Amino acid sequence: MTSTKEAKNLLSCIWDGSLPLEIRLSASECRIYDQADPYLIQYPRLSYLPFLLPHLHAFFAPSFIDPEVIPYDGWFSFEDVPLKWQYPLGLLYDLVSGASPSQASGLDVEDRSPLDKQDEHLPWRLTLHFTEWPEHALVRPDAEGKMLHDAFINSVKEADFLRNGTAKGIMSLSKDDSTKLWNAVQEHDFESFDPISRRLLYAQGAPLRHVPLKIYLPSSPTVSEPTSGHLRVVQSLITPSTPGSREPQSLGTALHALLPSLFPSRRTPILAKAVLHGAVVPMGALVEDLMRTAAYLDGWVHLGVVMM
Amino acid sequence: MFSQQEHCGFITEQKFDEACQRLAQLAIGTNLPDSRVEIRRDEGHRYLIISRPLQLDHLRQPSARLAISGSGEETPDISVDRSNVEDEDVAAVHHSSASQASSSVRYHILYSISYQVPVLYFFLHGLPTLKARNVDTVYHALVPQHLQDEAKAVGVMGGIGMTNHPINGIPCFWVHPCNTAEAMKDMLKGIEREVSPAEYLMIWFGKVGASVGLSLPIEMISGTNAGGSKTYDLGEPRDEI
Repeated sequence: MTSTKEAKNLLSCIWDGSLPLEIRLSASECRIYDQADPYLIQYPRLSYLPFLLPHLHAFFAPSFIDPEVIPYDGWFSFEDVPLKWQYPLGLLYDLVSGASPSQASGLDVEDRSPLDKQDEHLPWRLTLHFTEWPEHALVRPDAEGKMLHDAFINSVKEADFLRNGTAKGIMSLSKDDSTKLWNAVQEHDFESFDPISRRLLYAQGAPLRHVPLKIYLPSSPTVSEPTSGHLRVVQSLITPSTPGSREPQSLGTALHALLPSLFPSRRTPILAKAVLHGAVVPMGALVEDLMRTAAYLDGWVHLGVVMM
Repeated sequence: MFSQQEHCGFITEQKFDEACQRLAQLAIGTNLPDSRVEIRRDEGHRYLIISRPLQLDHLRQPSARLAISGSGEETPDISVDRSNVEDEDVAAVHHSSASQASSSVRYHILYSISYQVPVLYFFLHGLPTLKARNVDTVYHALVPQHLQDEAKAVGVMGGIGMTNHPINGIPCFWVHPCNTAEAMKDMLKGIEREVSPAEYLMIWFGKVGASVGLSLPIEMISGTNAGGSKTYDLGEPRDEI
């Protein structure tokens, strides 16, 4: 098991992880593309891009060809791939940017700076659009941005259901706490987020049933949907111990059971690597530890897979 | 089979798979005037697709309602109401007769690994994009009047929302599955015998499907009790199909 100090260290490392973004308004929507400045921001990996839309809308308003566009019609793309607004920034970057994940040189978490080898991909250059919503790829949000809240809560609920067999954890949060949780997510406020998140992650009186873990596989664009940015997502009921034993489940045993052709070995990455928060995850990491220390804000371990 | 003790409203993926196959078999043997039932296997997961024309002149009324009551001790009381009351008010709000003729709804029934229940995703076709992607259209065109409040009450934006389809990623509607197991448990507890996977799915149709206008012909429903395994007691004899 991870020591408490190490776990805390990792948790704060992940919470503080961020990416520099350079956001430009789509050329087709911009009156003076050559002269318009990009919007630059260092943004938390765990956070969601749509939170930026009101700021971006205000920033780019002088450049709009169509002044009637509204903030929540905004969507982002990277190299023509529409980015799913319901995915956290870090996950999108790990899946779509093409940057190679950083490999731990030692066991000390301090060494695992996700920025080490990624300079050529940074800042991450995104294009912002307020028109021509990609209907084939992205769910269109509502004008008040409630849909992001909805998607987040659904995701939290699903994780809760996997952990406990019911969604009672999240359902039993008071209205106040539930509002606090969402505000903490929007403001990226650890002090408010952590106590509520802990109550969900460490449910009282119920053993952990399953670890909420999703695996995102690279997929080649199909002819019909060349730029949908759709990724194949693989999921299974992953127990904290390997089935039929008391051995704690490692990422290696889980990946091998789920995707034996990509992960023929339980101990060594041979064909593919698992990526979380910009770093390659050791195959020996226990899935329960990953959930407690390295989950995204919705309680899920969203794991990218890159081919070696 | 689900025994009394076992069924907490969940179904395993394997049993869901069996249920889909059974239903697809029944669909082949049943005269379905306007619905089409397909079974697909994608990325190792089986799922059902049911398409039917979107009858915009029947808006807001529970046409083809499938009601299954599991509250008593009797076998499920299955009734299909195919009454044809016009709702001029709503029909007038909607589309030209040309778009009415070609619009359709396509339901996909997939298995949720997290919630261990079937989940309903659906697409509206043949409507202008903004309408086809607007949840209000669903409330107008598919949700029976008496279920409107219930459907809207769940979650931040209601029990019916939009999401990316789990297999092809295309935005579609879905009925959020977090309450499905609980609802199925309530439906199943009144049935004092074992329930086959196909019956489970039919009861699910009555609960989840009916909330967004999905129903199947009575012939198919009664067929779920026929054939298959001999281990369950039907309570009353039924004809084999």
